[in-house]
Amino acid sequence: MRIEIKMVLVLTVIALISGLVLGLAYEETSPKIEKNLELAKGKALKKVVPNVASYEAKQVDRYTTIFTAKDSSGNIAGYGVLIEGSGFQGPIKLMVGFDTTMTKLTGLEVIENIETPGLGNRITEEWFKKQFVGRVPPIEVVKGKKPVNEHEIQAITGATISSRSVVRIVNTAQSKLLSSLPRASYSPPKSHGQAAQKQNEGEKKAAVSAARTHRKIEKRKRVREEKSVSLAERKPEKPDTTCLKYMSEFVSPIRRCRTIPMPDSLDAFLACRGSGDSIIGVIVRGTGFMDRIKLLVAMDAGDFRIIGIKILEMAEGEAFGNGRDSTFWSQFNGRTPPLALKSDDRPNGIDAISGATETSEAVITIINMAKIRAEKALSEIQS
Amino acid sequence: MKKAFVNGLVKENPVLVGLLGLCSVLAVSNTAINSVFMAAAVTFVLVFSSLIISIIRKIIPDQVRIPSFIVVIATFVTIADLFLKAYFPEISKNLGPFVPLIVVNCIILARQEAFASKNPVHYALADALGMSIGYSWVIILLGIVRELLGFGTIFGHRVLGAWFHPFVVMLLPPGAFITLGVMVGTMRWIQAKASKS
Repeated sequence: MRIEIKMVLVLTVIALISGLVLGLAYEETSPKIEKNLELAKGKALKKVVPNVASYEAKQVDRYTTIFTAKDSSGNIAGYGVLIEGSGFQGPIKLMVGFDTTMTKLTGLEVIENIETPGLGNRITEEWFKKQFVGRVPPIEVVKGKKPVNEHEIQAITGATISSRSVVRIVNTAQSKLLSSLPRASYSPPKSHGQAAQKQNEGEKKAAVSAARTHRKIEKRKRVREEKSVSLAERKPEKPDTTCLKYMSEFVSPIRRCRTIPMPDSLDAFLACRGSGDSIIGVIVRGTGFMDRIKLLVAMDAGDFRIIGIKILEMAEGEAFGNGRDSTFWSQFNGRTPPLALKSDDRPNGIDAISGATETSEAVITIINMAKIRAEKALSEIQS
Repeated sequence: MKKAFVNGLVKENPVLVGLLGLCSVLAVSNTAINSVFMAAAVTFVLVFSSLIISIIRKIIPDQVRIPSFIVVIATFVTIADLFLKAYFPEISKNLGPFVPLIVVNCIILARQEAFASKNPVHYALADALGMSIGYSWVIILLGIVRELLGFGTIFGHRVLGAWFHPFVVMLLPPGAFITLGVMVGTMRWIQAKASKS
């Protein structure tokens, strides 16, 4: 036989046999491998959300899967977000548990990490994970002192970057969760629900969201009216210079301005324009790619449309994430959080700064928090 | 045949003398249990590859011998990987890419090229077993030493008491290099002494 033919023939036969053997081996092992993966996910979900009987998974993007956990009677027990982000040495994969309102953490499990053993690797330790239970994102890392506020976490000594990475991923998990599922707490009143049930799935969704929007608008109108009245009725007092300093950038002329002290000393400001509508400004902090980001976000106190954003502190990489790019920041104006990055299934999302997706994501997370804080601040002055 | 088996244990130990396949030796020997599974995977691949290559050695044309070896090796590596994933998911996660990377482990290819493709089946098997055991004892010893100094445990059981402060460096790549260096040095020293006397 000619050597060329023999070469081809022998190699082909070897490859064919190899393929056959591998096919059989795959056939034999793949159901078990799938089962292992499913089991691992289910196990992790049960660890972070209490009373899970069943769950539905929904992949949001390449790095994120959202699990809607249900208890034995079919009610929503909470949400789990399986999410991957970058750590110090490589990717960190977490399962983050949220309560039914998506605001409070119910648990945290580290699924995968290749952080430095003995240092960053300690993110898998019980005491570190336990810290997250009951916290309200966006969370922040504190060093060298005991965390006192509901959004603070103690860093691991010698592993600040890994600790921060976990916190950043947890915060991202919440913004992904908020932007991808309808909030349970905003479910429509029963009559709407019953009427909608007769319609098909798509119409139902539309009806629900319309009802929700309607209700929100009504509520906000009420809030706005109450607020402007209460503000107008107040006696003139000494001008609040701190408030004026921060808010004059967004509102002019300012009729009234007052500082709303917040428990964690990140204050909020309520300014009143001549026409009677109020603007709320909140200072929000969060973790960016390199270091802390601190923003002042001004929103309409009625419908929380963003009016302007001012960067107070930001030390991202010079080339990309320093993020002073005005086209990026102007995208937020006129929109209501929660917002998310643009993707295939979210064409009207925010365009990331190219080369600085992490930073852009961090900024969006912080801005989404701003709305939650604004709501909190408004309820503070009402009480 | 006995000579073929004994060769790999110490005298021509693939790791300590040949300094082959160091990538996996250094990377996964941070705990004893990881080392044991890595050793088992390498043994499985080496023994079966040598067996098959030795059987078909006469029909493989010289020009395509390397691709043929690789296909055979890759087949067994994939089987080992799938098996670990299905039955030992935790271990498989710890070993990460280092099981698939056995394909390019030079110990395996070197034994096919230097031995299995030139010797009858029983010799090839003896050689593969010897080399596997040679690889295994080194990586397992390395794993035990690193786990002991890095965690204070052996196979997950606490050996050193609370007084012990773990050397984190032993779990990192430098720890692997240091330990392996000490082992290679000790080995050379013993050999030098033996040849003198």
